[in-house]
Amino acid sequence: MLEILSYNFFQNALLTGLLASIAAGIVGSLIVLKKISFISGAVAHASFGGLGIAYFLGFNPVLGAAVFSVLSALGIGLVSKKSKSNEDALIGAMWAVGMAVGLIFIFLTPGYVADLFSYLFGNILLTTTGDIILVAVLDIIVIASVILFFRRFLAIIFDEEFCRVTNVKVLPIYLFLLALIALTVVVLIKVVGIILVIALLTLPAATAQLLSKSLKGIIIWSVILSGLATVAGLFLSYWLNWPTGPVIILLAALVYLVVLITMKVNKKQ
Amino acid sequence: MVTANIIEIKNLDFFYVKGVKVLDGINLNLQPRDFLGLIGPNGGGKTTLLKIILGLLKPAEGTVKVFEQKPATARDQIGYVPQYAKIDLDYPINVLEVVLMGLLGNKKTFQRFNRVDKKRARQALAKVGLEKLAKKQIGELSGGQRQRVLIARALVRQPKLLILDEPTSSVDTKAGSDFFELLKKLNQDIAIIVVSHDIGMISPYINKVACLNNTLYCHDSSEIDEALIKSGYKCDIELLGHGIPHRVLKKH
Repeated sequence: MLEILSYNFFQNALLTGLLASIAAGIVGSLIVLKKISFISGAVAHASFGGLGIAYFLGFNPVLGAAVFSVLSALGIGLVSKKSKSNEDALIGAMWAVGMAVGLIFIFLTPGYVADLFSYLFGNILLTTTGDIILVAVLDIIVIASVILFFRRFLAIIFDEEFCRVTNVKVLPIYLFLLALIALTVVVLIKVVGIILVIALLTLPAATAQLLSKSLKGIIIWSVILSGLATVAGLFLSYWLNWPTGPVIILLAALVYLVVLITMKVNKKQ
Repeated sequence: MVTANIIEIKNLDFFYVKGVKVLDGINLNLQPRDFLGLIGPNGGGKTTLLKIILGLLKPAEGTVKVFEQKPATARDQIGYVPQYAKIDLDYPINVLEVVLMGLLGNKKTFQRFNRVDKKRARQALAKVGLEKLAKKQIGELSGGQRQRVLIARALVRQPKLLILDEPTSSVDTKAGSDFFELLKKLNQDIAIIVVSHDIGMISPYINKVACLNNTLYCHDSSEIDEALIKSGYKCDIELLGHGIPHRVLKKH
């Protein structure tokens, strides 16, 4: 089974998965704490709109997805903080509208659309060196941001109103967090695809929250757990000959369940 | 000697939806060392009035001065204790970190909390009697202790005015009265506004009471009698100043 490690495409996939886990673990912890997985899911799906447009116009689809998802994240952030209208419905609409735009443009693009399925469900086995560099750059941005804004993230997630009253710049920090989420989502599209991305962001972080009582601990656990799920998922999917993305997600869910049940049982004793 | 009012509200109107006034013709003065109890029914505009004093909302009509400035610029001198129920008990944060949060607004992005900040936070915790719990997780404390942590977080900013929104709503009676004893002590140097619907609990501690129910309703009487309290929730903002602390309700 280990002979697979000698293949270049598998090495690339492994490296991408591990690197992506760093960003996913950090950003996912913040998403779970702030309880904005619905917003993050909307950003992930809206990014498909950008992907489709870029595909149609002949640009790099990842770039299109990045621009579109950052813009939609900022849009959602402003709507959720500034507008008094039905935030929940608007976010849900953005979720579907992004997908609709993406599908239409991909449909309008002449020729065979080979990549559609891999954008929706991920195809980590097709990673290139360019992808690896992209993920590495994103990791650096995410790590730097969380070090720099650690206290501020911790504070605005805990008590936004108090922060506003004490002149902490809540809205810019929140929008920055959403932009980070958007960028992380784009990178993870390669690993598990648009549909599954939200699970890879939230499951390891939710498990980590059961294991640690400090934000630092949660982030570290979350990175470790999503790394484990990705690596184990890669091997398992190769061995079973199943699609990688769903296997990674199911493993992450399994780990969450096991930890949850173990904690409950231990508490009762 | 004339002391400057720390809060001066004149003819204030406020609405969220045009035509539905939440606050109508409010006048309010608060002096240093005042301990104001703000009572009134739910939806009467208590939290809205607090938000205006804190500069989170802007009045539609009228003027609001806090420490003789615009509310938003006076925030440095206000310690705010939000509604207790909003705190997430599973949140991964310890007591000292919560208190330090009070100083975050003074820090630049690249600045970390230093020894002086931590000392100030510990002093604030000592003031509320929790210095020994500094390293405990917020979820491990009792309701009363958690409420005190939020006070310490407000105190670390060394405010001249403390504003508390429904501080005892989920705390038992014993913890509630201990809590107000603490506020009474703090009131020696800080003016306090407490929003509460539990007039029985706050009455022994306050020296002014205001009853808020959207529209203004003037009473010339300078005393609060039982009949007024009974009809209190029909009146709007009734402000009674007294030189000495007094009981609003007679002893039973």
